[in-house]
Amino acid sequence: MTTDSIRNTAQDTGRRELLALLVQAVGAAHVLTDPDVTEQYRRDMQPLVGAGRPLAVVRPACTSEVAAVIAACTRHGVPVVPRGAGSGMTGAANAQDGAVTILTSRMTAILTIDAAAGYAVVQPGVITLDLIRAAEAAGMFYAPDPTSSDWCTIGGNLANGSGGPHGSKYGVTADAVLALEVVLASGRVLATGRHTLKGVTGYDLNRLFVGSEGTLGFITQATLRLTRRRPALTTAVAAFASVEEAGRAVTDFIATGQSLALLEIMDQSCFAAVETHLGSRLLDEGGTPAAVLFAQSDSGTRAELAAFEDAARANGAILSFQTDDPAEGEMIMGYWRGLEAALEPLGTWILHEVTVPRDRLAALILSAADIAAETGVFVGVHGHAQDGTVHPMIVYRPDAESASERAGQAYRLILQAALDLGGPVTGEHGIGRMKTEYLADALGEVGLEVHRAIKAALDPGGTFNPGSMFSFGPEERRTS
Amino acid sequence: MNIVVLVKQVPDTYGERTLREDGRIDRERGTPALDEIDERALEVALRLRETAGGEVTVLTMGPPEAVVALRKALAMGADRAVHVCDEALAGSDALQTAAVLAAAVRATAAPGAATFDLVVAGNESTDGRTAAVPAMLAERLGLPQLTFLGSVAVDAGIVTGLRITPEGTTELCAALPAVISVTEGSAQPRFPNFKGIMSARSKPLTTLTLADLADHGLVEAEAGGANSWSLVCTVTARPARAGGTVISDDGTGGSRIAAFLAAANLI
Repeated sequence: MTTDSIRNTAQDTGRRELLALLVQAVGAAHVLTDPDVTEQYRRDMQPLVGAGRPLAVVRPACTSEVAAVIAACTRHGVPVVPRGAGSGMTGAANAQDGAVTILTSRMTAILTIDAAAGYAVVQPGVITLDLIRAAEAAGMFYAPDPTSSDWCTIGGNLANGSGGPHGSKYGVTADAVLALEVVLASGRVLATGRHTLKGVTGYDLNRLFVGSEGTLGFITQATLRLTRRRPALTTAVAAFASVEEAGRAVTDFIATGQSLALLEIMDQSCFAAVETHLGSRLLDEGGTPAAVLFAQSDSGTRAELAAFEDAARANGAILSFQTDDPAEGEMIMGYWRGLEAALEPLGTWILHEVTVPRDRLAALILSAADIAAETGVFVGVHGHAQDGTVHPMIVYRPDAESASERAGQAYRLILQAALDLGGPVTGEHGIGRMKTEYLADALGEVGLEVHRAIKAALDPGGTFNPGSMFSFGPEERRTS
Repeated sequence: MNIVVLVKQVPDTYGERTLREDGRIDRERGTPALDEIDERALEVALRLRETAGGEVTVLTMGPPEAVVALRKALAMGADRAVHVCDEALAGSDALQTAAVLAAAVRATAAPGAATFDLVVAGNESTDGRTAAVPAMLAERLGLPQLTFLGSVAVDAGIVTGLRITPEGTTELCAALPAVISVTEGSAQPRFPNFKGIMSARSKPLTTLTLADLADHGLVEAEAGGANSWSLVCTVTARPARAGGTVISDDGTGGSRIAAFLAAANLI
């Protein structure tokens, strides 16, 4: 026997032992190894990054099962990849060769909705919309919604530090977290935070784990802050003949000090796709507007939409309309909601995310249009105007020559444009496997050292999601 | 050609749908929506109007909040709306509903109002799913009924269509006026565009009570939940999905799967 084949045999034995331990932990029915079955858990929504072939996909039902799975993996030196719905956009939940993907799909209980204390206790596999609905039934509101609430999970929202259109008024997922239960690499269970509004006992470990993208621990339970249920939404729409005017309307509105529940911008490319898809133009004449703003208020007063309309008109809006009728509002928002379905027939789409200072929105949108022309792929920008996080949609025909390379080029050029405008590497989607190369520069030497020290302290064996977020040098990359 | 389209507000199929203990829809929960099949019926009517002219009236029987469904139909392009709204109507079954709608259809054709040539309905609502109202309505109105149409055309006072059922496809025709019901394949409904949403605000929307319909042939004993012929005795929640059948392949897996599917009438 050669040294290699001895090593391979030892590895096979180790894998068999580990699989037996996984079966013992969660039951044979919940250890998936058939490639046809595990295929559906290999990727998230990002088409530009690769995915490996997992050793197994496991579905634990409770914290102690998660702990048993992770402890066994750590002992065998096999990495784990935590995975929610797979709605992420950075490949962070993508399978890795020989690793164990851990699903939250059996941990879907909403354990407590306490309206008086203003919080909910949930398991990580709860679909975000289910929590929103359960809160609503109790007269409460759970605000963080990354716009994919009908299928994304709370666990995924926490791991990514998700944002969404409500972020600027209500805060993002991180702001809603009161307490977490986290399984560490050793299999021990950490409790962070508190159930009260305030709490400064020790380091803020909630914030450490939220947005850690599955690289530090596995969140098995979360206590999330709820607010009172909102009054009915009022809705406004404004259209502009130039992106700059729309941008100035946003800046002018923000300067009034008012805050909308939602303020979304859509550029001409996106809006034209929606108009085509719906078979319905917004304006009778003059074609597709250069930019459209959608505004929704949930304050129960008219002040926000009045200020919005003033700002829109003062900046030359070619259409400005508002309604306090929820049904009319719903119909207007149909234009906003129609985007992804509108892009579907155009090809494969990538929901990019960049964040810029919110007075630089127009500059970013104009750069994106230049980049679309330069790379020859479709780029349309929409996003959260009130906080400066926008989503350039890159659409390409995968069968066209060098299309995915050009899409990748557009992705990097747009990110560079946002960085040049003073934005962070990521505002709400995370690093994952898409933006690893930017992390070191963004954090700086000291920042990266601190990150690595934290990673080494909590996950010394590199169990959690190696290859995502950090790009280690070859000497540091684990070989398993 | 003047067309009446029957529409209904139902709990959104994509949302949570629950019944109260008395078997009625829990309107507190779930999102109300204009029934998708009715949007298709409306689309059929709007396309007929595009070629033949005339007016499209949307008609619903429902609680006060059902007005939202009518307004969506107006935004999609209907010319006017009629809402039969009366507390006594709660709990009506298909028979009472058909009686009331028949009177309401006659009311829209009363002197001074436009007459109608065609009544278009969805083949079955996504909540009640009796699929009986269009036929009952035709009987009440003494008109020909062409139900479960997958396609519709009107030419020279004759409505024709393909009736599509599991048993086969039949080409039907009738002289107008007539009642038709359409299936999912009949038309892809349009999205209410901005102009439509704006103009819906000024379109006529009439509300009728049972008393208003007395002049149009509605007999009191035939209307309202109190006179319902059917009674909900019990309500049972759909059982939670069972764990499924696991077939381990020992060489006979293929034929066992085939037998399983055949037993469930799936192949």
